[in-house]
Amino acid sequence: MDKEEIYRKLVEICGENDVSIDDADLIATGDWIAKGLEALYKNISFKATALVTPKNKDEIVQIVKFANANKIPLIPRAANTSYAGQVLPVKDNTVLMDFGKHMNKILEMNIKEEYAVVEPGVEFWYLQEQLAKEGYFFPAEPGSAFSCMIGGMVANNASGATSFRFGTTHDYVNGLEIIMADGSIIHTGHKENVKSVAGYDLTSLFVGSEGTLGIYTEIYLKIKKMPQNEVSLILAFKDLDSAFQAIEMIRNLEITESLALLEYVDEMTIEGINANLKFREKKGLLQKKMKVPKRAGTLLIKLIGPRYKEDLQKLQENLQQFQDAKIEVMEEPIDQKFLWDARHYAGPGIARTMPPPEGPRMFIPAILDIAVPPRKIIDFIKSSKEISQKYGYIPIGMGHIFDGNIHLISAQNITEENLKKVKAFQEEILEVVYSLGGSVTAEHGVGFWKQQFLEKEYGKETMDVMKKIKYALDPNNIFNPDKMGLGVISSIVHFEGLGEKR
Amino acid sequence: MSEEMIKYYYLCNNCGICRQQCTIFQAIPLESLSPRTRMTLAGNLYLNKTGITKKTKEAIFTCVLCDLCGNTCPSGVDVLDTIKATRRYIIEQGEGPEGISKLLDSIIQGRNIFLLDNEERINWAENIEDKVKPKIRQQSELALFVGCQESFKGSLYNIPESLVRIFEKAGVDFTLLGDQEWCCGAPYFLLGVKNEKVDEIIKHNIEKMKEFGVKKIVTTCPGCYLAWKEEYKKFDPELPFEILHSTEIIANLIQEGKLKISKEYKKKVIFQDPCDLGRHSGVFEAPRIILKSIPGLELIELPREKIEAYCCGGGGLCKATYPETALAVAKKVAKIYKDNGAEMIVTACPACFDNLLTGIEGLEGIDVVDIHSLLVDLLE
Repeated sequence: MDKEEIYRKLVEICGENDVSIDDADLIATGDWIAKGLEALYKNISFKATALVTPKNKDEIVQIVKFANANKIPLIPRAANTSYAGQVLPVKDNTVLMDFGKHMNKILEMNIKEEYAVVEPGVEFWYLQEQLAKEGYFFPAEPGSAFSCMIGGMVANNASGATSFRFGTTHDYVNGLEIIMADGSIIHTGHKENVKSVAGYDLTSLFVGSEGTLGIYTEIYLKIKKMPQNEVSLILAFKDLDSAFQAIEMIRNLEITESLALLEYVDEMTIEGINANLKFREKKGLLQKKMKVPKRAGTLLIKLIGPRYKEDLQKLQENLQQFQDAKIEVMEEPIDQKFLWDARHYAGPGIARTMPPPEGPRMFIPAILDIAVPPRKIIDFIKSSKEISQKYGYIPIGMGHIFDGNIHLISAQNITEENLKKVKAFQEEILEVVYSLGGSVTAEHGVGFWKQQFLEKEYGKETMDVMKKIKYALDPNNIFNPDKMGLGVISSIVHFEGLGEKR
Repeated sequence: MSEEMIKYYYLCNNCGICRQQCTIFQAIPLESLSPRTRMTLAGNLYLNKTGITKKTKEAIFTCVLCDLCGNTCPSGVDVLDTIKATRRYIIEQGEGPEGISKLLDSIIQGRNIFLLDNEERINWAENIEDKVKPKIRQQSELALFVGCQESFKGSLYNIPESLVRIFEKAGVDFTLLGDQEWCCGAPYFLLGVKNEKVDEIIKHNIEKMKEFGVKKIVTTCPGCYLAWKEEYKKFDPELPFEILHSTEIIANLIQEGKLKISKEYKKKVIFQDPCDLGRHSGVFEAPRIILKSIPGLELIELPREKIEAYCCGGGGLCKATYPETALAVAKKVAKIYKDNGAEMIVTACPACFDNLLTGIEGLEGIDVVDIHSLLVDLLE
């Protein structure tokens, strides 16, 4: 089917104002690797054919039926903040379906029964703001809390630094309304909080499916009462081993009810945090000067809830054994907010300490979001440092220790030579991850850039089952095709000689 | 084509935090209108990956240059520099939005943004001719630079008129250039367009001010204020004038006891921090000193205040090029203010006043007033 025809049909369904074939709407916005590969190779382009912004589920049903009948790839897109190329158009004639413009409403907020119904384009921060007015919150909070949308969170089963305490998005999805490939509408789970083991847990299947199985039109969420009180601590130990001894100590302290955050930050991350704090100080946003001491074994901690004071005391008493540790306790909510904001954006914050890059670059995808069994994380950190050194890469490391999840951020120039090096580096790192029983992605998802690793993680037979599910539900492969290791091609990062060089 | 267009292209890592802050994106949540995509579009133009499309133009010219994204970008992307460089490129290609060339030509040919006869510059003073005409081009340490908007737009005449009445009450002497006041040139600066004739305009305004012994220049328009404070200083680093916004002078007069407020104003009020005055120039307290001096007035400060304050959507030439977009922002902001209990939005900028006045249409129980007009009626 030619592009003109696709455009005409979409306009017929949604009207001219909600269909665009303008390049500004079709480009691979902001995806570093896509930008880099486009710059490197003449014949690689990640551009959609059309963007459609449906107003309601009726329009979506019509679009899906049309796409299914004509085998047109359809990518449901929320905030486009994923880091693994989840919403990257990789096939010809791709139609992007964006929910931000119209399908961005909180349809119901029932505080008494502790649930909410939202459309996929609701921004997470906005939902939190509305819930906070009632003393409630949505507990699964990803690092992209200021920019992501609920639809994307559900599609990626998003989570973040607090997930060891509160769980992931999956734990707060009661059910979903989904438009399937044939245009039928199904409802999984229940709108309200209902204990149920009736049948297959389809909600769990669809949460984290990265847009490959169907399109959410309504999302039924659990909400929780917001814990009161909070205190944050910076614990700076002289070395990594001391920090991990402290982690073991904390693990045995029985303060889990209060412990909401426990983050390991390496020295580069601290530079990024401090760069962000300094910038905010310059803008006049900070109440006072703030700086995290730059030491090899630094932990950031937050305690919350009714027992936080006694647990703080317990923690402080037990920290006395670490005589050379520098400990700072922060009680002012605004100071804590800026500390944690700076931690969230420590990776990009490093950029503030150096001139802007002159050419395309990317974060190395396979190390961005690794997880190993929690007690093995120190082994992984040590091995990864050795491997990184061998390759001359110096990643920034930060991790959600109790989840065994570490983010290693290494911004690399995208050149043909470096791509080969990245490939070898990724493979070596993943050897360690898999030998420790870990995963290539703890929370960011697989998308386009990590799909080549899945077979190694699960084995061919398991991947075959995933593919069977995909093709049973989406026989024409219209929903976000060639992602998550379910398609026929794997990530371009690992293709050699694929593109014609510029 | 300027390298500024691509300077941050490879720096932005797509985190999207800018979207939460972006004045335009929050009113019209389209990816192409987000700061991060504007950066990508600018870079793509530079790299010749895409042409100047309708949506690219819209993305680049609707940016209100509020710099709210600059408050939060963790990587240090300077959106404003990129936008201005890209605007310049688009205009140079003859692809600027409708009306832009006319606006720029008006400034050069007519010395004002409306291409009206510059002799009409004093029309705003029709109700107070006796107080204003004798002041024109007289020796004085203080000069009032009225600006094009307030000089020519009838709905804004009351702003300079009120300031003159306030000056009269406080016994402040001043002069003004009358038809010898030329546009400050701000639209050129907002569009990043360089033109030798703009230098002539700047030179003219500076020379005229010097001719009448001026030491301080006061504006009620934050756009003119920023132009004098930044662009004129770039032109002449030895610029011999102190540049003040009217609220700074008035706040001083109140603190010195030269202005007495005798009447009560029992309303819940939100002050609209103008971007050029607040975020870009750091003047936050002066208007608040004025408002807090008014008996009965309850000033509401939102969680997003001062440097983080909402932009009205009327700046950066967005209203001139995409008025519907500016209106969408004004409606959203006015609704936020109303939901937070405001009965009155007080402005200290003609563009904010103008835009928010349209933004409140259809909203019950909320109005907009200019700070000078509000104050003048309450003085002893």
